[in-house]
Amino acid sequence: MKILAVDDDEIILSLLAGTLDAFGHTDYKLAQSGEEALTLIKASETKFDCFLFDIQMPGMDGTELCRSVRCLDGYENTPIIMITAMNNKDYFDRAFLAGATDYVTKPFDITELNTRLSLAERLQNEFTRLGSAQESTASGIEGIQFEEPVRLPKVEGVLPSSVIGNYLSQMVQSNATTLQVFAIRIPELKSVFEGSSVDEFVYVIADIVEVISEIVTGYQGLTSYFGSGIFVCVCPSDDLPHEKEIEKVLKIRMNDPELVYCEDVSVTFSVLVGRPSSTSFFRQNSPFELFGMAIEAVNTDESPTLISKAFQFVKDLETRLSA
Amino acid sequence: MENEAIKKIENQLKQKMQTVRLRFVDTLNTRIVDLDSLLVAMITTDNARNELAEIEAHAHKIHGISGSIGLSRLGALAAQLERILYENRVGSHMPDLTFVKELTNSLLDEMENVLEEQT
Repeated sequence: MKILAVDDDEIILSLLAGTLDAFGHTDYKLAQSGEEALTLIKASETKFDCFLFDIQMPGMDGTELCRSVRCLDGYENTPIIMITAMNNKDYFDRAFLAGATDYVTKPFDITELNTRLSLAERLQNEFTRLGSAQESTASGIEGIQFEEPVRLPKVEGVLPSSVIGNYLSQMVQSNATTLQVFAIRIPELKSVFEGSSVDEFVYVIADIVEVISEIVTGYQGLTSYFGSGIFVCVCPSDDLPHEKEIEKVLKIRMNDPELVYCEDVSVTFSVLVGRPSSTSFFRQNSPFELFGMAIEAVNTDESPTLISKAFQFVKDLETRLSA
Repeated sequence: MENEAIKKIENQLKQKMQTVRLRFVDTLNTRIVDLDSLLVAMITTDNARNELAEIEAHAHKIHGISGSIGLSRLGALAAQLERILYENRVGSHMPDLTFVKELTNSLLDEMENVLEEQT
């Protein structure tokens, strides 16, 4: 794995280099500023497979660097681990929204850093797997399933399903704030999937996730698409309205006549918002347990198979990311 | 065999950390002088915003590295100072300068202790 570590403090860089050496990562480069890192990335003949960015740096900070890297060809999904001494929600949110996939707080535990690097490798495999399935299906080969998430274009406030778990786990570990995790299910997406091409389906999901995210970001929350027509949201508990209220607003916005989702399939969307599960200092559920509980809450009599498949997806994702 | 490999990694890490620790301790004298002059400037100037920002930057760096190289007390003191200065800066408040001075002095004392232990 080719790694680029960036920190303005050369002692931290030595510490990172020492850790990488000890764990057998020999193919790495170091940079002391965001600007130097960008030059290195652009000049590199082979692509970097993982980045470690300090957030607080003079000049271009780590969050800005992260945003710039995401705009470079071939680096849309490369794992980016942010490193900072700050562990409050604002910092986590800004980093993940800029495209970070994970977070390590300073002072870092050396073995934890290595665990995060292994996780980054598995995350990269997960992105590749998802991308290949989508491309195969687009070219007529059976690949993508309704029960799987799709790779979406960049939408503000939306994280991939494999990354939102890292976000939640950092928030739980740091006790930054209490969060509510809830799921939104749009049953009609099944017929959209069956009656449209992959590109059209991705387009519909992107439009819907945008509508959901507009509401969720209003409560400083983040959204992710988990497949099976199910979206999972993570929000701070303050001021979050009752699920029926969210359902009402979403239904109106999603069926706005000005939104044309897919010309081939005419649908009126219904919305199910599940009861939230909360993170708690006293009972620390893993992110995947919380996602499972949120998905279980949008179960209805007609949907047990679908829900069990969604549940299975969360379990498989957990296995793939912790293998 | 696996245990041997782990032991090898642990030894390698220990050596690397010791080297990094020595490099960091080598910088402490300069950091002490810098922080001392910032404290004096903070007390004598009418608007200490620049000095507070620089003290915060020093605390940030010390906090970032100390805990990872076994200097946890130093790291905790730096973290406390950094947090107070950060929260006040973000909230656009002027912190209680007497308290900042006390925290900075505790940090300076601990830096001296680390230097003494090392020599």
